[in-house]
Amino acid sequence: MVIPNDEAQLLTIEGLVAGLIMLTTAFFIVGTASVYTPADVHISDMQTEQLGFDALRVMSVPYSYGDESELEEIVSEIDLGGVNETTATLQFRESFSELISSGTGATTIVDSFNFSSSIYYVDSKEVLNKSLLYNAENYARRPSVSTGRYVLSEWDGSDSIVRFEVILWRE
Amino acid sequence: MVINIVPGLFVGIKGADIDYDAVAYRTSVILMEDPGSPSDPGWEYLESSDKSDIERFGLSLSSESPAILSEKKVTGFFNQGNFEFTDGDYRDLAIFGEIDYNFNISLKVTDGPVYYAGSPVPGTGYGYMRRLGLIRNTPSAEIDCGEYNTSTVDVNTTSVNTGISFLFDYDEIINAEIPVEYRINPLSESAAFDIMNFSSSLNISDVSSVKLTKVRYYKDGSLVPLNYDRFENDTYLFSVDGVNYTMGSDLSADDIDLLNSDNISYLMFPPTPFSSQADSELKVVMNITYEFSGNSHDHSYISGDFVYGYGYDYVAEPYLTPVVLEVAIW
Repeated sequence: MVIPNDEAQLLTIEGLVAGLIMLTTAFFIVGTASVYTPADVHISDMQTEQLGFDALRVMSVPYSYGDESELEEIVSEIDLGGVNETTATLQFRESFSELISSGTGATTIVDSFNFSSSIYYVDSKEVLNKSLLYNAENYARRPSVSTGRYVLSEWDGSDSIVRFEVILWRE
Repeated sequence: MVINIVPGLFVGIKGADIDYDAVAYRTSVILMEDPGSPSDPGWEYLESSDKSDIERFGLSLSSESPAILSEKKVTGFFNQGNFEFTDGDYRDLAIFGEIDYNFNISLKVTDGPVYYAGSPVPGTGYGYMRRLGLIRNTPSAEIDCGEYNTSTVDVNTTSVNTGISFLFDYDEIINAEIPVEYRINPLSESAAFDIMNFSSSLNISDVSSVKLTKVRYYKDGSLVPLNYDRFENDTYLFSVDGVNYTMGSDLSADDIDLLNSDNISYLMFPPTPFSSQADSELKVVMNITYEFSGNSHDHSYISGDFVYGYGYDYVAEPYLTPVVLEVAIW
């Protein structure tokens, strides 16, 4: 059967197909998109802990072969007591604060850390601890992290392994 | 049909949370605690044309010494060496991940230089990690001639053929008992001698001429046959007051006049000759000829045998300096 004047029918089919192609394209483009959003930031504790650990590590490595490390020296001086202990404790507080507040200048460092430290040691099979002088005291009121390092040093008159622990928090 | 498709359009959209802090942490660990890949010999010794052979960055000296960085890796990484790294290289080899992160990596040596890579850090909204560590300083020998103008000949002598030599006893230098961060390693790092204040330490009124005639290598006491009068700038760099020379021919026309020269510097690139033969000895000898004019008192001149090794006050042995590394990702 011949239908006269059928051009409109062809144009309609063409229009539908074009519409389908456009829809399919849009479907594929939009369908594969991902929207990225920053996630919750909750590892600041880990950053603080890593920083404290790094600082203790830097202090317990000798700068030249055969030298004593700074932390080793501080521990043995603290063991001596008296003026030696006072000087060594102040030296520790100064060196440690300087390390944890150092930056490259690329970002602004918020230097609000405070810390408290103690030395754990074994005496007659008992683990004892000695708090350092000039410790800041209010860590119980802040979220704090603990970090530590074993140090081989002169302690109680003989070479011993003691654990040097630091509790760190932001004021 | 259209009504069917439209709701399906948005089904494929997925949200992805990016923890920028975690990416910054990962990058800081890769840089501080890993020697990178290839690691033996390290990526820092590749030719700049072989940049594509680098699989991963890492600044640590070796896998046994995390947080102790190699000076050569640091300068190479921050484009201060022979490489030219692009932002894309840093993304592919240090930051990783499918997303093109913006980043800023910076490192400061205490009382020393600061290095940067990447874009300036925005005010807020970036992931961040700060790490502390140590950097190993490359050893070198510095001879201050003021302390060594001590050799003498009697008043009637008019000329002396002598020299300054440097001895590499590889058996002593490559001492495996010394931890890698404090060990001198001529296989993988340059060895430098700087002779300073040469002419200003001489009694100039007494000396009419000083000439450096040649520099020669001796292995276990015998002369090493080489084309000494050619520039071999990938194995050594020999300069007097900043001007580069070859090691010199046997002709007197090639002698270098030292009468007004203060700084003589000899730098050997790794591996230094014969350092792979652990029981061998290399001696670098600079032959120097003095002529004296005065005749009122005994003549003094500079010469000496110097050992490149541990425990000599003119050798700056490898030592460590604290560094801080900051990584920002956004």
